[in-house]
Amino acid sequence: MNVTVRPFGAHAILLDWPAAIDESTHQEILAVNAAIQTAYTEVLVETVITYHAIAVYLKETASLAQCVSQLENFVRKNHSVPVAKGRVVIIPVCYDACFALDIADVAAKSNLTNETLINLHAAPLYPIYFLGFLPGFPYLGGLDKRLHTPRQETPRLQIAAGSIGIGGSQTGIYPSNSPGGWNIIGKTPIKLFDVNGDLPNLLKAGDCIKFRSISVLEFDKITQEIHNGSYQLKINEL
Amino acid sequence: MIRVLKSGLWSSIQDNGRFGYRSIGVPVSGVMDAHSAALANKLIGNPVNTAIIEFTAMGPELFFEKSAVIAITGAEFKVMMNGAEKPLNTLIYIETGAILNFTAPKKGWRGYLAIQGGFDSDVVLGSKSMYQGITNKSRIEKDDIIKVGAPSEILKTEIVPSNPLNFESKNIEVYMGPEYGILDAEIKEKLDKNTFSIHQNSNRMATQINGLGEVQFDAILTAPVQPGTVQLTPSGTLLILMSDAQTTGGYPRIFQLTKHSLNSLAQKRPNEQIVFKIVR
Repeated sequence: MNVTVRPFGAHAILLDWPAAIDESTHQEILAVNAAIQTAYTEVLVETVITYHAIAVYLKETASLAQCVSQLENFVRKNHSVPVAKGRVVIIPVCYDACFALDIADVAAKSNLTNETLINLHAAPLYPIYFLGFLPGFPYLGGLDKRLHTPRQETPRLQIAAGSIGIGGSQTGIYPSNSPGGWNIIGKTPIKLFDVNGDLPNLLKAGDCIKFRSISVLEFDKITQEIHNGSYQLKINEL
Repeated sequence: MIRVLKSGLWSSIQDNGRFGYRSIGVPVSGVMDAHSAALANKLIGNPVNTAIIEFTAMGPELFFEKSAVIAITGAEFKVMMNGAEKPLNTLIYIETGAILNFTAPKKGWRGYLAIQGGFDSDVVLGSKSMYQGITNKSRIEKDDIIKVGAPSEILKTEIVPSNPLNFESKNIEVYMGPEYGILDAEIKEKLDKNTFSIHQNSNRMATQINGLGEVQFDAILTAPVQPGTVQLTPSGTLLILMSDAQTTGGYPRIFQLTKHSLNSLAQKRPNEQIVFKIVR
């Protein structure tokens, strides 16, 4: 594995793969991250993964130099640790203009009809590389090139939780109300992040997302079912 | 119980932070000046991770419905109980029905109020630290009722020497960050030689520093960041990430503050000056 290991402040270590967004790096990172979780429980606070890095946050009592040299050896070993098999989480999305504030704009810029845009957006399996930026925000790969659209020049002050956006070559879901500069092309009634739930986050790195186009009527129905606690999220095996 | 008569500029309940959830994008949060917060807790015999009230620039006004033992540390606020001045960095016995308030700090920017028994507020994802979207409230507001816990774990009150931070020093000690190497010699020299001033758009998320001028560099792929990470933005603004920092970011990470300097920085006010000192 082509990994550099170096201190990141006095109580953290950064493991860097070559800077790229690709699936094989992602799989290596998932495997090494899982291995670190089991091998370093005594010194570990937590880890954070991104496209090409793992930040290993250590307890203040841990010896940084010792952990750096241990991790250097550790990443040279082959970690074919079986990572928990990812899931495909089906996210219902309403692409109706009442939620999709920028869909007409994005369609015009891409020379597509709304219908083609929706089909292109709902077709792929989007791998979740990691969560960051906001609690529960998934960084997704796999957006069709025809849908790449520059961010808005002036970010909106408030984007509603559940909004689906396109920013440059990325697509994503806002888990909570927040300011943001992405072009909004739809909205999901599903809660991605809920501190009162059994698990705060619905999605995790290694899962995939598949969007399913729904009508306004179905959006309202699902919203009601979520409110009643009767909604069953569809999750498939990868 | 404590009734909040005035909130102050920005007051919130904080402990040492929320750990174990950064991988799903939840910031650590927690006290900005951990040194002063720990001192306050030690003074009254609380475990050091006990939740305290952190207040900024302008303290709150609090009505104590019951007597209490507190300690106030951090910035040099003038502490008044029913109009009589009380000392910092030592025990204060609060009478039933007393009103506590503060005048602006002579030095420093953030104060810490610890109470025997701690504050009995909601624990969300393992921490009482207030943060928008995680806890019900992101800050303490007028008319809030703050419950005080029973001192479950009574430690012997430690007689600690008053050891507040040195507010005078401009020095902020930093390690080289992951992207320090991509900077050209001219920027490195400015970072080494220049004095920078704290911008007023600074908060619990980031301390903002201007004064480098526009810089050219390649964007980086979104990567891990932590409190104390110094990000360089294309406009030349430096963002020194603080307690409420996001967990990942896309700007070059040029420095990483030492923990001590992070505490010192939390006490710097807008327009105060700092210089970076690289340590190895």
